[in-house]
Amino acid sequence: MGQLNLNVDMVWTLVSLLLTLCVFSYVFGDNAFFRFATALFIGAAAGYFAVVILYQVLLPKLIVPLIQGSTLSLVPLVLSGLLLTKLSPRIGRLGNISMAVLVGSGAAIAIGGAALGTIFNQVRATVNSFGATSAGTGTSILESIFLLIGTVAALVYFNFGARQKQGEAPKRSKISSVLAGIGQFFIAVTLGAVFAGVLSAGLTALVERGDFILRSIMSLAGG
Amino acid sequence: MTEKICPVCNRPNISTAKRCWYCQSLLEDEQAEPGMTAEDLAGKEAEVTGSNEVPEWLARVRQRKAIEEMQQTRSLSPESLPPAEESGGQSGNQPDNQEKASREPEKAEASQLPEWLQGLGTPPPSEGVTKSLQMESTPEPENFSWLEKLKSWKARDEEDADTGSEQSEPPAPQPPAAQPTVEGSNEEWLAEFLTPAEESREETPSSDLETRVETPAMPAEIAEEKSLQPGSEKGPEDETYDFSGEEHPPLEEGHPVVTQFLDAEFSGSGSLPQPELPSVPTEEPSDILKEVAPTDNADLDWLTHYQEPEAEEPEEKALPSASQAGTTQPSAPFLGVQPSDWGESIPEPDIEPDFEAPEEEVEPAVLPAWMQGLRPIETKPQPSSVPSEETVREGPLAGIEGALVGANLGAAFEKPAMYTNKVQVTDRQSLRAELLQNLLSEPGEAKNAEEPRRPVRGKWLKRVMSLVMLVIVFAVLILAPGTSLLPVLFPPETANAYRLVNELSSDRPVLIAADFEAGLSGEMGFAAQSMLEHLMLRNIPLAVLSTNSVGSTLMDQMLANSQGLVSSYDASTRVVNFGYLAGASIGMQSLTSDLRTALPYDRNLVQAWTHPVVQNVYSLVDLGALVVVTDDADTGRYWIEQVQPALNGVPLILVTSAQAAPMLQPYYASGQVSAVVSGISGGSAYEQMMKLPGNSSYFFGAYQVLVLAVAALFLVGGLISLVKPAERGSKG
Amino acid sequence: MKSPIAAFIGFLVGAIVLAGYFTNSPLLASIRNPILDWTVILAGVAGLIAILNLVFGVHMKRIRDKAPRQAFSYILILSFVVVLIVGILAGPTHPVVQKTVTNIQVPVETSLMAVLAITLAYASLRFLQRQRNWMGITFFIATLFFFLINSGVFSFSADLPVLRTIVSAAHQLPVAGARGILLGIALGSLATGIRILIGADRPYNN
Repeated sequence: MGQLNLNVDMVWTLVSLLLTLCVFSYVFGDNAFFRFATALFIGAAAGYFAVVILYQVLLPKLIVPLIQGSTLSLVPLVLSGLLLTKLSPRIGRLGNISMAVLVGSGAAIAIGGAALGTIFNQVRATVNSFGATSAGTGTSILESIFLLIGTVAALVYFNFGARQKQGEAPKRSKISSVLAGIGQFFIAVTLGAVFAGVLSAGLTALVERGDFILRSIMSLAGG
Repeated sequence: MTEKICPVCNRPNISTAKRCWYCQSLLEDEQAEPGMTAEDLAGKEAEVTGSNEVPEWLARVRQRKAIEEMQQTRSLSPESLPPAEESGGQSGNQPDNQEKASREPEKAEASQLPEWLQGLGTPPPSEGVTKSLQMESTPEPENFSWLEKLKSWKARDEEDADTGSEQSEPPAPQPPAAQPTVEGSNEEWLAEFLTPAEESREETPSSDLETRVETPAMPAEIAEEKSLQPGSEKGPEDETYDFSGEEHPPLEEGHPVVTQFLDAEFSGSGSLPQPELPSVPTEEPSDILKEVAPTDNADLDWLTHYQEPEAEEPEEKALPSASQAGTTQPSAPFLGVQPSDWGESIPEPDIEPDFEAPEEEVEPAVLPAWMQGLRPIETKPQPSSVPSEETVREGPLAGIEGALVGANLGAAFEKPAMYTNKVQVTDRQSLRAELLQNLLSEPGEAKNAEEPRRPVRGKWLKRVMSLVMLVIVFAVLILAPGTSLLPVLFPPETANAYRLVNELSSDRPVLIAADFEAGLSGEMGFAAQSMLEHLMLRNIPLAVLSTNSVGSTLMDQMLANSQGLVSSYDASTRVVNFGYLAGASIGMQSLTSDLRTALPYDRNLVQAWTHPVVQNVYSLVDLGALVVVTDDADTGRYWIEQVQPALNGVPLILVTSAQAAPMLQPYYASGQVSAVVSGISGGSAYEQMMKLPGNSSYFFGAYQVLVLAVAALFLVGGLISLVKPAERGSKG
Repeated sequence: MKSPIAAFIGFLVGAIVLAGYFTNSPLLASIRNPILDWTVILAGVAGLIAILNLVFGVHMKRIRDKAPRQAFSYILILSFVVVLIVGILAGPTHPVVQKTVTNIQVPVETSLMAVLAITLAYASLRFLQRQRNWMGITFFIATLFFFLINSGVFSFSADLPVLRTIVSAAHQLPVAGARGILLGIALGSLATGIRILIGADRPYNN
């Protein structure tokens, strides 16, 4: 039995190795191996996702309460049935109500989260940085000013409103132009940091895959 | 400046003009006044036309000779001559206007016009009109459609000139006026005079030449419409015309066509009493005719332009009666037309005649190419296709006699002109459009332009680069595993994470939200592994959930890996896995509202809240900490926005990918997030703080070498790019 | 006006959910919590619809239409059906089903990330050739700087106070820009959410 489990593990390892190599073959251009690996991956992921939804969403939240006699669960049942009509172009409009519930809730969640979670807290943090550093060193105060200018300037950069004088093209005001230029600098720095992070994450994945390939080869060769 | 109104064409002329500029007829002061003899008139005309150079004796000789020749001509076929009105109806349209200019002496004849002619606005009767003319010019009313046509034309001219008065109107009865002229002329000049008409008859037997010449100027649709009307089929004699523009030689004396014409012209006159010739010398009109209407085809051209106003509408008005007239007089297009029916309703022509045409140097009847191209196809000779009034032999009207025969539509249809809605742009415009497109195009669009060039060099460069990177990884992992330049300075957010975990109470579970994809599970493992080990070392109960379908499974694997290093930790009793929470931010919000309702069961569908780990947890504030392990900045933001306000002081620790960290850093700066561990470097730092080397430190060496290699490539590529000329990017 | 009932329901649900952020009224919570629960169920059903559409709406159609490379659609559907059947029969927590995640999804996705890293590294070689403006140069320098910081090669800066201060200060640089970006995103979300709630935008109508 232990030998069988070992062999099964080796098969899975071999599958993983082959799939890894299939994807890496994309470096040499699009090919059938790469397409095979991605097709298999998408199908398996979709199947697993469907199973998870059935077992961890519909069953515990909808079916079990219905079996237990919860009449309130009829509402999501009806809404779910209406939403399923979206699969048909003819009766798809029936699902608009379900979509309205979904989108309405999502919009409210987005409003509440953006307002209370980001806007108020970030603005407050920007303002409070002066209060918190008022008793600190001059470096801290400079840092707070630096943060304030960067935040405001980045926001100004996203404001594309401009005044238009008669006979002239729309143009930002001078202060707005200066702040937008500064904001552009801060945004460039931030995006540079994000890009470096993306590259770092990718390289970490490359290291992890390199290690997996070595280990797999060694394990298959030794096994 | 006062104008002189031409009595013939009723058009204004300058006061000094002696002849009408349009029709070359004598103007009023030069024309015969009542009581003026024909000789006087001839003398005056001779002055005008230059005939005064001819000696008087010669003029008399010519006059006499002309009279004699005319008499001889009449004696050729006196029985076959048609009535004068018929001849006028057939061929009078063509020479009428010419003759107007040359027959001023006959104006007086109009005084004896019949009643129907009086209605046309005849001028005041003049003296010297013979009874015979009156008899000749007495037609049946239905035979004078052409007169009505003429009337309409004159009325139109009156409006154009805006000077129309009944006194100034020219004498309407032209055909009667033609009679003495013909009688007094010899065959030679008659042949010359008749040549155009005869030619047109020979080639295109119609007499309605002006209409046909006018037709090319018409829009093709109108002409086609006219041709398709039943009444427009007047037989080959009416419908076929010569537009070839070829110059035809004048007919000679005794030519059968001339004879036929004369027969047709004067067949009626033979039976009528021969009018006494007035004393008007007949050669003057002929001379004038020669001058005004030369024998070559230029006169045709002149005439066509001169009589353009009659071109379109009169024929259309005459069409309804054409079928009726066609049965009796097929060659007379206006027979059977009641003058009062159409004469009043003929619209004005909107085309002014071209008055330069009468100049002799103009090439006669030579249509320009464009006009020939515009020429309606139905005006082409179709002699044999229309059997006029004969019995229809085919089609739905087969067997019906006298039915209008439709045109040969199959032959009439032509391929319509192709009109395109494509914008016609010049080279300059297209150049500007291309320039604008280049200005507006994104820099990324330039890739497409370079695609053909890049694959050759770029593909190999990319392959070499990937091979080099893989070789670096393998080389470091094989040759120097675990060798790295470990961080000495720890980021404060990572240090906070270590401190917070170190301060957690083992009574309160830590909720781990595993929201990362499989693709970054390696990096997330490097980042989170040491913290998980730390939590296990502190024997803290763990609850796992994920808003990602694979997150909880991957976290299970991580916990299993950590448990292998921390053997004292019993995962089966200390860990509860709630599995997947759908709805992303909505699901997160539902956690804050009612935690137990949002997660009723664990992922094995077992009542979760009876588990010893979480049996005392009713809301998020009962947790020891919330650890969000995510590779996505947005997911991290959702957790912060939706859940953090409900934590009420419970620490929120982020374990993030390196790519998500910069965008989540402000939340740490604002205090909403208690601690952050990001990427393999954060995990390595955490391991350093724990003084427990793990996977992060092991792989950190390979990662560092790889980063340095890529940074070197990045730097070299950037420097080369700065040296090389710029591509299509902007230069700021 | 298109589907006013849906618009009204969307507004009503949104208003109730939004009100929960500002009040702790038990009455409101008794309405709001079930709505959120229903929405979570609907989100799950929406995910299921997305999967069904992918498999049957896209790839089945490709097979029916005999589209080029339809063999990969066969593979996709086959793997989907196998995992679905095994998953339904054994449950998602069964080790065999979990192997589909750890031995299929993880290697493929991680390898894709690795290939992405190679592609990004190659693309960064030509970066300045396209964006040779001051923002591009700033981006280039920032990328290089933070890339090296992430690598930990500045560990030696611990011995150099000046360099230590510079590295520490440089960490704060992205925070200012990121805060501005986050505020911009939040304001945009706010505006979009309000437009949906008041019915100016109705993405649920089609």
